[in-house]
Amino acid sequence: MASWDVIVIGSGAGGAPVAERLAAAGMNVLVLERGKRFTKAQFEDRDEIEWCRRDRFVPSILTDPHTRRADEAAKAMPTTDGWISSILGGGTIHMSGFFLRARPEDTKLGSRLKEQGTTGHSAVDWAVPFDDIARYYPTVEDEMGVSGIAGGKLAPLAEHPMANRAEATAKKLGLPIERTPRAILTAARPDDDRAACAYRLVCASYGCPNDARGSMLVTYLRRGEKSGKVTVWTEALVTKLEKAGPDRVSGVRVKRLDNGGVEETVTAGVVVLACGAIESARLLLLSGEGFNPGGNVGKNLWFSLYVDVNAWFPKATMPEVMTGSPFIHRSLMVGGALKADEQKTLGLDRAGMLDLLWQHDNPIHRAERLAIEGGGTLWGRALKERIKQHFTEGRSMLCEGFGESIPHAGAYVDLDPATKDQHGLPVARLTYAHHPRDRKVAEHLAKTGLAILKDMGGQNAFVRVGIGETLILQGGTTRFGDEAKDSVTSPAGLVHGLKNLYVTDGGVLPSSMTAPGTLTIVANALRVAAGIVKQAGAARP
Amino acid sequence: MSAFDRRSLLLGGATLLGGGALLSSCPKDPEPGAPATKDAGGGDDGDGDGQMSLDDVMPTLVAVCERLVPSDDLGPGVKEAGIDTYLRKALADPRMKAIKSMTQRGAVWVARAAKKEHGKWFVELDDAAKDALITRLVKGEVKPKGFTPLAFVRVLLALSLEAFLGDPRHGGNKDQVGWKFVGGITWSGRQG
Ligand SMILES: Cc1cc2nc3c(=O)[nH]c(=O)nc-3n(C[C@H](O)[C@H](O)[C@H](O)COP(=O)(O)OP(=O)(O)OC[C@H]3O[C@@H](n4cnc5c(N)ncnc54)[C@H](O)[C@@H]3O)c2cc1C
Ligand code: SF4
Repeated sequence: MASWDVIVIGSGAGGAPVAERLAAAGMNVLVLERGKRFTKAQFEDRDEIEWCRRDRFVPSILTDPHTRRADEAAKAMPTTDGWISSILGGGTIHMSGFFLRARPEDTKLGSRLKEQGTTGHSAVDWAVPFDDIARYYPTVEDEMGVSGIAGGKLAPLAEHPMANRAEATAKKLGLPIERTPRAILTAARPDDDRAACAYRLVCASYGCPNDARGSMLVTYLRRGEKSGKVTVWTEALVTKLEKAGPDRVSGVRVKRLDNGGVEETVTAGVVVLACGAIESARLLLLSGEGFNPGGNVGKNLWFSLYVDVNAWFPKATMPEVMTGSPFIHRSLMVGGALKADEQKTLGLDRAGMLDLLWQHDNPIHRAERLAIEGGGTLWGRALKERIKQHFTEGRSMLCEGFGESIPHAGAYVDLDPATKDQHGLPVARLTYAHHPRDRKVAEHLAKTGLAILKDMGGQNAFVRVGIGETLILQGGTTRFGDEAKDSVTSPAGLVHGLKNLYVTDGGVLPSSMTAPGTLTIVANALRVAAGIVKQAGAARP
Repeated sequence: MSAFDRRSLLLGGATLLGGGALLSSCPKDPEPGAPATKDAGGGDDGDGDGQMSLDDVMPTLVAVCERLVPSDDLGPGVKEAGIDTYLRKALADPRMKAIKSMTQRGAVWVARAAKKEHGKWFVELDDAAKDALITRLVKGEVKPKGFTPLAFVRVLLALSLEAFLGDPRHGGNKDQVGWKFVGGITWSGRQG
């Protein structure tokens, strides 16, 4: 039975940074990751069928589903919803890397809703002061390599000429606009063995063959492994957390999927849970008594609110759309602020942000969308005609909205009593419905998105997703708070009642913020890691 | 796919396909009214009243796909792309188990419906008659047991587009006919 100073479960945005920091402080760290390790050479590949259409990044619905239902009366159906990624590096491997900072107001959702008289929610203010997390932003941006920050070290990525049009539109409509920061290198970092971005035809949803995108694999994990103090076991599925006494964990049960599924116990002085908001909640619930002290594990689930507006930009009138950088890189209304009159008519204090990007260039995806857009089914010669025209005569632009979604009693994760995974373990069941306030936010984002695309010269603008959820931006299920009665973890990251079990993934963040929040997950993970190091130092004689 | 969406429309994008049976639909919950399937290797995917193997139904599946993305005055279709090879490979993938049994059920129904109506198998019909039958499936004017007609067509449409525009390594998009049709871009790796 092997023993380590620290076990980190999950190698994504919440886990890898902790592993690196604790190793740097001299601890022996074991990272347990259920997914496989992929190489740079494998990330050269752009096989849409394999990577994007056959569950390469996430476990198969046939063997490891989640289930999902809209409310308690509905039957929960198998789905891949709720998986972010299952690969060494987690969701950061194929993310887009839009890396925006949260705003102080994002962390005050509880009191803001109270002020507005909004009811029927379980939102709270964050028990960790915003500044305690925000002070790690510059470190993360530097260590991962975020380009395009105003006044930042890295030059921005090359931009498509449509960025100028977006600027003009924003000015006309009176909307704040800024460059979207991206966790993508614009200059090589030889020390980290990372090259600069090569502006490929398709980027997000695939691994980066240049190591330009700041995944965990090429940043914190690479540095950690290089130090010799981080050991990584891939295809190592943790099935249970084990207790040493009433207030301590002793280690974990791990199934070595690369070794015929052999199970073993691994022990450690400290265990850090970072499986993503849904799987970490599931693992706590699977581990039995003592791992759900206040009964709040899995509750208060949020998915970032999502809206998607599209328009067509024909080359006949805008020849520039066909060439240039793949990135437009403009975000509007970052921070979610609303004008005073909008606040009044909408009955909202803030909404969310919008960003502009070209439709993903995956060809099957594009063609498929043309076949079913608008609810019909186009086929035969008519479909071919449409495909040819759309691929050669112009381009579709997306205006995506991200907004706060409000935690409430109808949004949670628990164990499905009826469905088990291939290992015989109950799967995570998602029960998810939007809070009524979400609709107001979504409507405003969609309306504004339409106005932006139309003003930019887009044709046939339409709302593709009026209200949805970004399933890979998830949290709340192990939220931090001062007391077990309405939270799962302490501000220090410890599961209430336990002295050596920390949680550091997106699950600890109590609300969804007005922008994608992975930068905040990493910053918070570094904050917790610093606390663990301090604690260990204090304990040493 | 948005910047944040890893899924294809047909891989569980329920909103986009009206919740029909998608490329990853779960075998535990086949279409309402479907007979239970026992298959592992494809031998026993029958529709309840006839044991039809993939070989038996392949000509019908191919014929439907060749109407969904036809060869015409605009250029080549899935026929030139190698739909036959593509479907055989794609449906042999264990991850496509549920899709396979659904397409088999659908193909049997389509073949029989043609025989009943025209006295000929589907593959023997002229293009207009084939299209008329597909139109009725799309519009839901027929009520077959064991599969949802629109879902059947959409799944074959998805597979046809994969055969037309996917990486040639999977057996379709022969000589990159599909990529040439949409402007001559090579989408597989190493262009960055
Ligand atoms: C296509 C895509 C695009 C994205 N784009 C952006 C973006 O532009 N901006 C942004 O801010 N965010 C983006 N994200 C979201 C981002 O990836 C997540 O917010 C982030 O990865 C979450 O970090 P996490 O640590 O909570 O979980 P993850 O990064 O998912 O890490 C969890 C890890 O734990 C492992 N694991 C789970 N259970 C177990 C177990 N029992 N035993 C062992 N290991 C286990 C998983 O395999 C996984 O590797 C994107 C995600 C995707 C998929
Ligand atoms: S476009 Fe740049 S960041 Fe994206 S995969 Fe290519 S090299 Fe990596």
